[in-house]
Amino acid sequence: MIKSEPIQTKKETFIELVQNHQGIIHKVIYLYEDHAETREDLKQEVLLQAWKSYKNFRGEAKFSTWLYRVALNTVLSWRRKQRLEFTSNMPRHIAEQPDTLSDEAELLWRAIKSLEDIDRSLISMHLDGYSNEEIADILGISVNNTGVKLHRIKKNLSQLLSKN
Amino acid sequence: MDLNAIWKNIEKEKFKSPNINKAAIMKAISKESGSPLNELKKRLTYKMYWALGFCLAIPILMLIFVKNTEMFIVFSILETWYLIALAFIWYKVRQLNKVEIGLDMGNDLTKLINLFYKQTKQVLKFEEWMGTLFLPLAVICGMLLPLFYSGLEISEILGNTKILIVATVSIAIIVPLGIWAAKAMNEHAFQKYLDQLAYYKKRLEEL
Repeated sequence: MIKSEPIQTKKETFIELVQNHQGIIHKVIYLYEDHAETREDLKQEVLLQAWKSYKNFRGEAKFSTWLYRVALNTVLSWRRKQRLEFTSNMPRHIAEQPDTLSDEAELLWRAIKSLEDIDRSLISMHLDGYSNEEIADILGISVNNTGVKLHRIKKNLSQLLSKN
Repeated sequence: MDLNAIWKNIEKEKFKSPNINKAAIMKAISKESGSPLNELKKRLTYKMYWALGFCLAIPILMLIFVKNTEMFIVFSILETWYLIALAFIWYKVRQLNKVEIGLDMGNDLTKLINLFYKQTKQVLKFEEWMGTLFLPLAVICGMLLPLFYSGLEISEILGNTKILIVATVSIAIIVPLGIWAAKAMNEHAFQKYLDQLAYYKKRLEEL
């Protein structure tokens, strides 16, 4: 929240900022959840958490970085909770609707979805053009570690796509 | 292999969720305060059931114990008191029940919070006021009933200094203690949620 802003416009600012950066919310949710109904619930949860945390947003980081962190934390917390609630032999999701992706896009998507939770976000942020510093900041890991992990993930993904 | 180009394709085709509009954001925001609103409604309803319980219990006690006019009058005073309390709380709960929490309340959230805050405060204030008047009366009634039951008449009771001293001392001790306990119980049951509502209201005004 930017302090110098007039009070009346602050509420509108929050709504506008979320609307302008809603792609982040969609993307993070799609990365971790296949079931459309659950995605809707998660969207509400992310919006609620963003609202709750907005009082701590001082505009020091970019809003997109901040929102990514909030969305990721919310979705990952939800996944941890889900893992505790479901036993491994229970079906967790209804199958995703088929998309009209090209073969290689479908392959990349499936490859990304098969990655570990943090690696999934890491590569998607990288492909979205986030700098290593921003990724490190969002994920709470060192910039060096980010670079090393990215290099390994990209190599694996390229190999996987080349093979197919 | 250009991962970025493939990713752009995924982005275009995959993330096609419906737009997050203002209403969706407000709906999410309203969830934050939905919980204390529900809790306040639930707790006021419990209060109403307590009053209803007393209203039903008193006539039953009357049927069992009343054996003279004096006892009937004492029980009737207590019953009237509880009926007034029941009517007031029922009216307030009914007003709150008209509101469906969680459904399209985003736009009027401040209004809704104000309504819940005001109604709950009014019930607590009313209870405090009723309690302050009721407690001395209840202590007197509590002392008179066994005396009437044992066959004493009002003139005999008023003429007995010992009984009057015990009654005065009892009122002096029990009444402040009762008022303090009722206040403490209400604070424990309601204050947390009222504070939350005050906080959400302030946040909504600020943002």
